[in-house]
Amino acid sequence: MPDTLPPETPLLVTLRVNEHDHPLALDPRTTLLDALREHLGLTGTKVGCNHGTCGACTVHIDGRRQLACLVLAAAAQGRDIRTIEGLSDADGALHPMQAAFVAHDALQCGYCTPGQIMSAVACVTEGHTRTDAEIREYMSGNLCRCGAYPNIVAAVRDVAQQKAA
Amino acid sequence: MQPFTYARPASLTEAFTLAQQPGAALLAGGTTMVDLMRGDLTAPSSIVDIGHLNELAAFDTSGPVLRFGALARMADVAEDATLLSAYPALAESLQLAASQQLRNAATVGGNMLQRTRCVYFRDGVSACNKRVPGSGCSALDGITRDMALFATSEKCIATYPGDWGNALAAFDTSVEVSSASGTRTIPFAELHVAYGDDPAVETTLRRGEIITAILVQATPAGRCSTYLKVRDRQSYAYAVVSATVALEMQGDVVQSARVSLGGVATKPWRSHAAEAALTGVTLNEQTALAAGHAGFADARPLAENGFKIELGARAVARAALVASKRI
Amino acid sequence: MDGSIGTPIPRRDAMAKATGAAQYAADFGHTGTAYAALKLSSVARGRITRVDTAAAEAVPGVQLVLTHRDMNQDLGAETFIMKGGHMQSSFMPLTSDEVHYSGQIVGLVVADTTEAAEQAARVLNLEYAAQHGFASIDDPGRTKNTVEKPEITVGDADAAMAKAPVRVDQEYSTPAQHHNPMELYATTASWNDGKLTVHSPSQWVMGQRAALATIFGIAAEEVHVVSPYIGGAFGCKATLLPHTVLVAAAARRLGRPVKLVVPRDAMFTVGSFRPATRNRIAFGAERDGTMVAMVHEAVGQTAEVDHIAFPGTNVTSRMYDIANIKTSESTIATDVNTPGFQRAPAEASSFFAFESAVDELAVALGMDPIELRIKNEPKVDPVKGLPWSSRSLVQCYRRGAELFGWDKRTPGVGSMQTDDGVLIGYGCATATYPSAMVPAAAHVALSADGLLRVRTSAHDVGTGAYTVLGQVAADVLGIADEHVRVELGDSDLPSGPMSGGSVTTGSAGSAVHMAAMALREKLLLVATAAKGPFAGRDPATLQFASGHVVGADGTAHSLADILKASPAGSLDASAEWKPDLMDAEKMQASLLGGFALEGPVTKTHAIYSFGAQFAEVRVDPLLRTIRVSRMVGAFACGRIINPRTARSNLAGGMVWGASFALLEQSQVDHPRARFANQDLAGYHISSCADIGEVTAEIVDETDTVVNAIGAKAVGEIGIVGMPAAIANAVYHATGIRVRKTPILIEDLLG
Repeated sequence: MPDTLPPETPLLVTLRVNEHDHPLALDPRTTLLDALREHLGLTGTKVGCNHGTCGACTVHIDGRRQLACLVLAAAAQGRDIRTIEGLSDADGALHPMQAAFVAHDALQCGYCTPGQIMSAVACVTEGHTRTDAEIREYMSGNLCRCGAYPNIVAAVRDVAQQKAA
Repeated sequence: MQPFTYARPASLTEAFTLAQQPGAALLAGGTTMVDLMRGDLTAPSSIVDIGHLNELAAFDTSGPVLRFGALARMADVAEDATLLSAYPALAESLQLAASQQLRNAATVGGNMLQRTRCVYFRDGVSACNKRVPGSGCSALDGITRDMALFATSEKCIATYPGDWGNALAAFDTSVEVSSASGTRTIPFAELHVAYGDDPAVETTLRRGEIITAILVQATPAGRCSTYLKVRDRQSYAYAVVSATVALEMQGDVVQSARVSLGGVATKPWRSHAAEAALTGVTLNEQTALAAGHAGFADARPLAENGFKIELGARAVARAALVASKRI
Repeated sequence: MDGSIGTPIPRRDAMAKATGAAQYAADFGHTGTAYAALKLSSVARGRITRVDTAAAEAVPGVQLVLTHRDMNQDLGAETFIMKGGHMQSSFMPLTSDEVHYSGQIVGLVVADTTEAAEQAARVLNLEYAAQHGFASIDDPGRTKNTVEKPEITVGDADAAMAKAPVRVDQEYSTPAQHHNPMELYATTASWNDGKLTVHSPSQWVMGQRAALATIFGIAAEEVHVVSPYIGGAFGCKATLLPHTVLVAAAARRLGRPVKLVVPRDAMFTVGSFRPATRNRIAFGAERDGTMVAMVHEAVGQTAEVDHIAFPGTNVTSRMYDIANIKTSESTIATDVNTPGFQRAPAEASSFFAFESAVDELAVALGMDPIELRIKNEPKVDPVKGLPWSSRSLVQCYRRGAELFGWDKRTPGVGSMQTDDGVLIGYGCATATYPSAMVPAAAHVALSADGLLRVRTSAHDVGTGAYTVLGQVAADVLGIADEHVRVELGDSDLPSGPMSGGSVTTGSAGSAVHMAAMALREKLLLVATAAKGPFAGRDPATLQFASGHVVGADGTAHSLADILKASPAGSLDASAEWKPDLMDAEKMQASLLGGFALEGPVTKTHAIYSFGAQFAEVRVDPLLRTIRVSRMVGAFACGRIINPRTARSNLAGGMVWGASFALLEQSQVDHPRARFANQDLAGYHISSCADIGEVTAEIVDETDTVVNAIGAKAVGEIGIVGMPAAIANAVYHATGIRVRKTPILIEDLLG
């Protein structure tokens, strides 16, 4: 029973990230975000607030966008986790959304960009791209302090139209 | 975050056992729980992760009672076709909450229990009777723009923030809760408690109880409903005020009305006064606004939130007019 | 792709950023890293009376607990940037038991894991003897301190004002704001053989290097500051922040790398912020719109521990052709962390006031607000009578008005509405930003593989410096963009400027240009030497294009071929650039990490970028919510190296302006003298849904004075006119003049 162990005892957790299984021994308090960054060295996923208020840590869990800062690593066991590092093809070709962000200059400092792109990929998959207003609304969970929003909307619109074509 | 043990029960029955232990807390979507733990605003000694118990994730909006499994994801419920057409207010309250990432994680059961955004509760240092019972309330002489106008006390004036919870308040909603000792149903109006002597107590849930479902009585008013949310920021922001209105109309005349107000009370707030003011009247801009004002007749404004009386009344008026056109 | 100046090539670092490969400070891994967490003061003013570390030290994995009792080590004294040093504040936490502001660092805990460090910081117990503090300039009893520098006085403003037939005279206020870059402050420090390496997001690696060397008593060369990518800065990463010093001290004690990621709430007090302001603006005018007098009284917030002021009067006084000008500058000290630079530090707040007042004057005169501004366009700097290096404000207004559709504006309040009654407002405002110049050094090298390397310790904070600095060199040498590599953000590189004050392109770009020109000369020497492919030709007849040197007769030899004729098979060149009028001694101090700048007003010219900004707002007639549906800005900033990155930068500034106008404020909890809304749920910055169409237009302009490449300031001007343009549009829509930001629903409810 877990309650017979002191809380400092590391939890053995296997995380499936970008189609690879990673066995880890973690403090139960470790969030998925810290597990990715500090234990797996996958630093493409960024920390912007640790409170679910900025979107910088957006990853896909079982194909849906979520915030890695509010998920305990232990709770992510058995889930299929995808990060920005796992978005490109195996041969390294950019995902169309990554290419669109480059083409539309949809980034400046780049810090929110991995989260924006993970969110944008999901936004298109969800079909929340029928109008610019809908794209704006469904991309609002990813703050960009540089103010690249108009170009982000253009990139998402572009990929949605490519997909529809 | 303070240390805790983590357990992932294999069944609901096992979860009941674990949840009974002193210091245990349930983890579902985690969007509130992990956030609160990171700020040491809550410090459970054991976490019982029920997020994977799929038997609690189903929902059915077609019958005489709408049934939402407690672990249904907000994003899924928000896009339910039946809900969108037959109960747009409920769907809108979910669509306008938080962000898609959070709605993908958060559950409808957990979200109902979302805790206040009061900065004095959240900062971890100010006096707060909710965080440290008996320590006082820094909000009373502090920044009151976001504080409540209804069901406040001299011990706490913190606003209940949930969109979904506020929308549910307008309907005949109840909550099914289960524990090792059985199952009971709590009328929604009795789930959250107004702050009395101990603002740390926010619900009537007992130790070891798990919310298993949310039940909403079907009503034709559902179709003629809307959730209107007024925010400072266009998206990804809590309500300055919100209004849920659901109507049964005969021509221009309101046969019955359901109204709840958000961003203005310490708990989900159904406004029987606004409902009474709407019932039987010919709906137009003037009568709608009068009903909105009726809803705020008993409001107790603080130094900086008095504008919410006028804004809230207007929100009710707008919501009523929007809802009335959804026939 | 042709990477010459003026070409909109894609951002050089876009690929790294879009794939997550770009490494920011907290992304660098170090073997054996320990993690730090901060303890912050819960009182605003007083003394620490008791420190109890027992509970913190009992947390498993804790390695070190530092409070003021433990920091009496021999740290060298560094100073506040405004006193000639590099620090964000004169006050260094953990050097005494004094508490000067809420959220001050009062402890640092280091543990094996971040979870243990955070837990231990939480249970580190400090007791205080607290005094009542004041965190707002509006708190009663606060006294004003007039800034000890001469007021700007031109003519006799009081007399001219008294005689003017049309006058406006109003006070405007703006709240404290915080930068809130998406990247948190983060520092990893490690020591190796007495040498310190610091990974920390920095707009000024040379300044950080100099400061850390002083503090730790080692040579500058023994400090290595690494900051290749910065996740947004906007001024808050310009100076050395105290936590970096503490982390480096902890790492030295423990003999292992220590990493700290500063939590979002601590971002509000560990660094700086944009101080609150009150600006009184008065205009006197003839009935035909001729401005005859202006008064600008600026009051700004500062900290008890420091004096810093951003009155903006030296900029507002240069906008219009006014013969009688009077300004004054004061500050009010508060018990807060020291304010500092935030995107257009002096201009953004003061121009909200100033350009709102111009609009009020236009209303009082019954004049079109653009025509009023154009009528008062000054031919020379109204304060000193100096010529402008370039000034194309009128062209900006003409072009911006055309793009915006200003001619469709009907002047009456509330006269423009949508079919469903939504109120539409059009507003405009002038923007400007000074173009100061900073000395810089650069190194360029062309290797046998045909790659051109450009190296300077300037920084790309999202502005496009990686891209434009490469273009400056590529342009000189006729090299395609894909053969250019740019290295920035590392204190081992040739000294670049602090990337603040919109100086990077002009200053570092001039150094890169100078180095590239020197390399060009070397290539020509080799090419025309006896063994060179152009032996005997006159170098002046040779051109550089498409990776080749081309003779007048069309003969072309690749740069690789020319390099083969050089002794080493490769060539490089270095340069140190300084503004024309700066003396060499000042330049050398600056290159060593000092802070020296020339301009914007030199002995010969006034050097500013200008712009005209437009906003369309839509106000819900019932709920009074405001939406900025369109923004247009037309800017003249001299030569634009890359229109693509420049437009993004300018548009980003405009988004900041919309955020300033409608959302941003660091709310002060008066009784406890602290910023209350210390997270991104409470401190609102624009979301995607808040921003409608944004058009940033570049107006062609040639400036032969400003610097070697003719580039004026771009990075900050975008924000400057936007808050007033939006406030003016709100007035046009509603008839309600809101003289404070943010403009909130309750301001329009009536």
